[in-house]
Amino acid sequence: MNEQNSCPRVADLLPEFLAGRLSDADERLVRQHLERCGECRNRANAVSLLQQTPVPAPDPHRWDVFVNGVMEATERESRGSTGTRRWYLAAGLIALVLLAVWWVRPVAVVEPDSFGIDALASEVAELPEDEAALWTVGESAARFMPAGFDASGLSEEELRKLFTEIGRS
Amino acid sequence: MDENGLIDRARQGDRAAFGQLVQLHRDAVYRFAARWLADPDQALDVAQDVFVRAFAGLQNYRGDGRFRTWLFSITLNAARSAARRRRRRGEVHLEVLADFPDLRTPADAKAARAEAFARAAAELATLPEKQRGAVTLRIYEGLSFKEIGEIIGCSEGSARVNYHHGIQKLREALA
Repeated sequence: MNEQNSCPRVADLLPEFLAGRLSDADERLVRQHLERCGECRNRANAVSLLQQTPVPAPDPHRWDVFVNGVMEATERESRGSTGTRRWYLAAGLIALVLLAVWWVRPVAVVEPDSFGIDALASEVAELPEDEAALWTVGESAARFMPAGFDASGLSEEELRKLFTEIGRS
Repeated sequence: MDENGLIDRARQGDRAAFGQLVQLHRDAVYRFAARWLADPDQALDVAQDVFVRAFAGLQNYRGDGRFRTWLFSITLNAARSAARRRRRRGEVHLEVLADFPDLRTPADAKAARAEAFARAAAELATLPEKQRGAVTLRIYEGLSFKEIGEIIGCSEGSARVNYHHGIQKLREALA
């Protein structure tokens, strides 16, 4: 391996070389390379300076109580998350109650009058018997429908439109 | 009890076991945060936050890498958030200039070395985030490029490139 080809490998190994953690073979490779390569020597000097740079010291009082501080914070955190879970549970229960109330609410009955059926009924009543027989009479909103017409499944809007058309015809 | 045993017990809610894990790793977590942020007070806040997050997220630790590597990932995220908050407040920290311990060398040499250390720390703090992370984790924690990639969120090759670019900039700045 020529010197320039060794540069990337040596650069990778510099932290371990400077910390004295390399195998004998790698140690020899790096040492021999550094004797000949100025660029890698400069790099090694920079890495060495960085390695020797001490870490900024923590506040000793805060450091002494660090572990206790963490334990208290985790305790607070779990109490907080338990409280949050309780809120979620309460919100879920309220949502369930609201859903149940909505489910059992009285369903609005469509008043036949809203379709003008009473007027239509009067008209049907005045029809000759054989013509009146063509109309279905029931208890629901569709009590006056052309005989044989199945109105189930129609929306209120569709029913309203249908009755308007029947009224006009 | 070994580290994995402590992790298992901590996962089951054993706070004493988690306390031992904190004791085992607090130096490394603080060291990484302090070098990355160049601010000891903020690094202490970050380190505490890291362990609180770790306790809450222990179920997410898959155990397929070193526990310390996982803690460093959390540390890097917490330190980034802290740095963003600091930038928003417009704060500039110069504490690294004053915080180096007394060196047992003659006064002139001591001053020169303290100045060189301060410059090195200051230059390190100016590197882009990924380069700073790669250089810090490689030089001070001796992590492999694969582990560094996992922590800073890139491939092994990209971690190596980030490290070498960072070292190159520092070499030029400290020449």
